[in-house]
Amino acid sequence: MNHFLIYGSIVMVFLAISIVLFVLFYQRKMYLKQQKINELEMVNQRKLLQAEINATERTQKRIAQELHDQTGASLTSLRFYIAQMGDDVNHKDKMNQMIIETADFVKNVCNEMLPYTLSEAGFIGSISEMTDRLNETTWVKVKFVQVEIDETIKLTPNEELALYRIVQELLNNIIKYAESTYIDLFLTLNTYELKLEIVDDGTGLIPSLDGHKNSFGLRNIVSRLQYIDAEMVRTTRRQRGTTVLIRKALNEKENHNRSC
Amino acid sequence: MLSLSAFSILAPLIVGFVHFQKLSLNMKILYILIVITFVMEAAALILRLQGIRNLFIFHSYVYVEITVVMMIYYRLFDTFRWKLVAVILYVVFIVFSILNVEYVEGLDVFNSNQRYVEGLIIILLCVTYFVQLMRRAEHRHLHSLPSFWLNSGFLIYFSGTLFLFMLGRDLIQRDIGIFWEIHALLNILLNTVYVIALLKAKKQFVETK
Repeated sequence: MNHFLIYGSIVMVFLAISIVLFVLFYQRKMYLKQQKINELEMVNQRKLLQAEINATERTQKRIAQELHDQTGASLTSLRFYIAQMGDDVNHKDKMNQMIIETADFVKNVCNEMLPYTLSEAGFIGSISEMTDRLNETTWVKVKFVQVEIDETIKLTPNEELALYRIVQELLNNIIKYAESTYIDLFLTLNTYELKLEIVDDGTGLIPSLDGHKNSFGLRNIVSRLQYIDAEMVRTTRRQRGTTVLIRKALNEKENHNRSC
Repeated sequence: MLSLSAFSILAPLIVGFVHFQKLSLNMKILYILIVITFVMEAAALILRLQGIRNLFIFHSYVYVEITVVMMIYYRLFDTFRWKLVAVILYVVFIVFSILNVEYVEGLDVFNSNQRYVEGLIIILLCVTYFVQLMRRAEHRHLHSLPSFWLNSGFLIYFSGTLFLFMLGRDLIQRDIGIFWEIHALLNILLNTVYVIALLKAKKQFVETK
């Protein structure tokens, strides 16, 4: 009886310890495997995102070029022909005015779809050009302040385009929905980070990213932020106005410090 | 060994008392079990010294133990199905215990059947929790989880005492000392695991603060 009890208990304890050890090691193995799968999924997701953004940009480029080459050229020809028409000055002036407006509209659409300035003037120049254009075409006062710019820092073309699109989408949203009277943009670009603050005095209607996941524009912002490894924080002031902070770490060391 | 086992409950009692505010709800529930175990063991000792039969204390203790353990596992399980299984097992055990006292063992003998069935149920819960941990694969270092230690302690203690409790009635009646020796060893182990789990819970609190 004594032996049965001792050996029986020892066997049971041994079995229990074996189970514990098995769980400990198996779970660790599973955890590492899961981590690898997650990493692979992230890489795939990033590739998909990149492909999607590239496809969108290609389509926009094509449409913009078509508009520019075809419509723009046709309108210019039309203007030329009208100039050669009879002396019906009244009609001629009206038609001329209409054509100028249409040409401007097409130019604006082209520029929105394919920011030519980006390749010529870079990100900062393009944002400056965008704010100038908004000041001319809307009643919102847009101010672009370069807080700290390190000229030696160069963003990649993809990063510039993604940031440009994000700013474009945000400014359009503010102008369309937020009933703001002013928008201030503060840009900081140094060795460690790119920081862009967009401050407005609107009704806070720039939708939050969490609450409007189905909005096409916002989904675009989210994918582009993911694509360039940037983050966006939106805070609403109690009285009126919203601040959107876009931040992208530019230094590996900085990234590391932040994740610690 | 027997004295060491009797006093080993003091270790988790003190550690739990010192860090009580920093413990998670599950660990606070465990601490209630530790306090009750201490009180019951002290009461059993006093009664034994006064020559009064104390078996009814061990009978009552099983209800407290299974209730607290079930509460912990009910909170640890993440699926409704296993929460339901835990509740059903608890109800079945209570009904079985009452019938056992009424018709089979009574209160005057060691509650072998009751403790054996309790052991089987808790072993099942332990294995289920381990399966849940493996399936979720959320933690790189399981040994930093207080619930992992607690589960391991329960599994080892109740596996080791399974034969002991199964044969406990005969062993005690025949006054075979090995029963108490083995139990003392496993009891010390369980109390050590309680201490580790409580310290891990405290550490987790500090890290998440």
